[in-house]
Amino acid sequence: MRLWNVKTRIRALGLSLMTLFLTGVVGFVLIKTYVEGEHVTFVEAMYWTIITLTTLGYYPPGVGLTSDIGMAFTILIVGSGVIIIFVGVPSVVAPWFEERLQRATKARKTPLPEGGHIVVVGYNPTSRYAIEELRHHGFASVVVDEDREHEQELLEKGVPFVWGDPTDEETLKKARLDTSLGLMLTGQDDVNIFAAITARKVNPEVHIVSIARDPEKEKLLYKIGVNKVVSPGSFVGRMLANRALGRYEADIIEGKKLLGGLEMRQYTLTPRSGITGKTLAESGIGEKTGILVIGVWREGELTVTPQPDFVFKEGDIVVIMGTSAQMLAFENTFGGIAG
Amino acid sequence: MIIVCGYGTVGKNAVTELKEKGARFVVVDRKEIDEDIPFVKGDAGTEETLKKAGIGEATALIACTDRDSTNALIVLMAKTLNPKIKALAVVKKDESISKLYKTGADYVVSDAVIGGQLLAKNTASPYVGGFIDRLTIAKNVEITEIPIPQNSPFAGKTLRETGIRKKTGVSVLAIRREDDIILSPRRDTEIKGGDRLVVIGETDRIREVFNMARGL
Repeated sequence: MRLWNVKTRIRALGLSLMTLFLTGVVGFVLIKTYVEGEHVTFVEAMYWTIITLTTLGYYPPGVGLTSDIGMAFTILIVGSGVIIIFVGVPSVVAPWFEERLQRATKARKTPLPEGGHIVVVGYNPTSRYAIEELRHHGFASVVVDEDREHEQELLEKGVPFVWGDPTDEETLKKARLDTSLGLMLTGQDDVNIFAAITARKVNPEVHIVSIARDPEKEKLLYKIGVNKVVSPGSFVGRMLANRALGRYEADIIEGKKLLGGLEMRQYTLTPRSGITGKTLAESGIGEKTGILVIGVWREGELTVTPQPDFVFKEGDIVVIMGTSAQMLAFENTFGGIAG
Repeated sequence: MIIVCGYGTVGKNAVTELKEKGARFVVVDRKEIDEDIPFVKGDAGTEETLKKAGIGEATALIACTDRDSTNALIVLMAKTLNPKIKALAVVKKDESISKLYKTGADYVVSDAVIGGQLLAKNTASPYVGGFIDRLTIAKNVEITEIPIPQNSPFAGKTLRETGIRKKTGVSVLAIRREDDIILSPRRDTEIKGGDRLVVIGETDRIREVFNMARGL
């Protein structure tokens, strides 16, 4: 248990030593002068106090207190000194060392991944959720921001941070945009637009997703080559309207599990996928796992809730829905399907 | 009737959606708007304005002004004037979410959370994101609830026997039975009168299921 932090403890220790020292000096002078009737100097008083406090106990002639009151006072100062030094010092020194050690061993920067990460421009409530969600899906993020305000928070979360202007080529290169999987722009609209233009120069292939704070900027972002623009303002509006009318789409959009338990995932079919070339009925997905195939994307076209005679092809992207247990069963039965 | 308080980005998009769905609504805002829609000028946090907007007969209210505190006040006032109203609110700060629920809101959403989720979905699983777009933007796919009347031809049949999937391609995601919910029901699950089927599919085909359930 830590009663106080190290700083407070050091202060408390210093303060009590100081108080005791002053008490010793003043007491010595008073007792020596008024009780024992001897003349004392200030240096003698300090000398006596230090010898007593440190329990050295050797007093040159004329410096020790010899009266009853004087000896009682000596015991008091020795006793208090022992308590403060033997209790106070260890309670400060050990934690102080501990803290120093921790600071020395803790890396001051989270190392950047070599590649396959998502470069996230801007750290704010929106990107905080996005990073959390990406981590959930197994993607690492690297945050780029010209503001260092959140550096410590990111360090604690183990998210690498690159400090710099996100509309600067050098900054994006430092964040290893060239080997990244994607770029996520979560800043203000003007920053997003300029960062997207810069990013296209650094890596013409990278998949760029951007937020549009003002829905009107959506088309501008698409125009400069952003692959997908999301505008939370308009989404929230539509979603609340649907909610007011008692419809369910809202749950999925919000990232919650639909109806409290259903989630959606996507899988890309490879030639090795067990269901490639089979019909939905032959695949046995429904019977074996209870999973529902709610959509299949093929060359940009979506087939909603495909029929039992639908034939899966290589490259199809299958969107499935089910409970977590069903998802697990699906992965176990059709493992290797994933992409 | 639905009251939309605040005519910013969120309010405008809510109105677009409500118009498309043919729902009755009224907009409340402090500033005059130059659009020909039902409108009440005033402070939505006051009894007077909410009464003018018809709070007594409203089924739902959307609090989407640009201030969390204003939205909290609106919800509180609305729930006081009409305890049965469904109150939905949007907030800027996450810490406001729990506060809004305390004022009695039925559903609270933070646009930062939505933005984060949308960005992540479109980065990690772009095709799930695309599917959601179809649900919410293209509108030809929907998830909706279908009530099963006691005398429905579906009552007493298993899902397979109803032929919903075979005839219409619509999938049943869940069955709501009183307070229970059966997620991803099996093909041999029996449907009872009074159940509500939660289905996903193309809008036109879902309409067919509605009719089938009523024996039309």
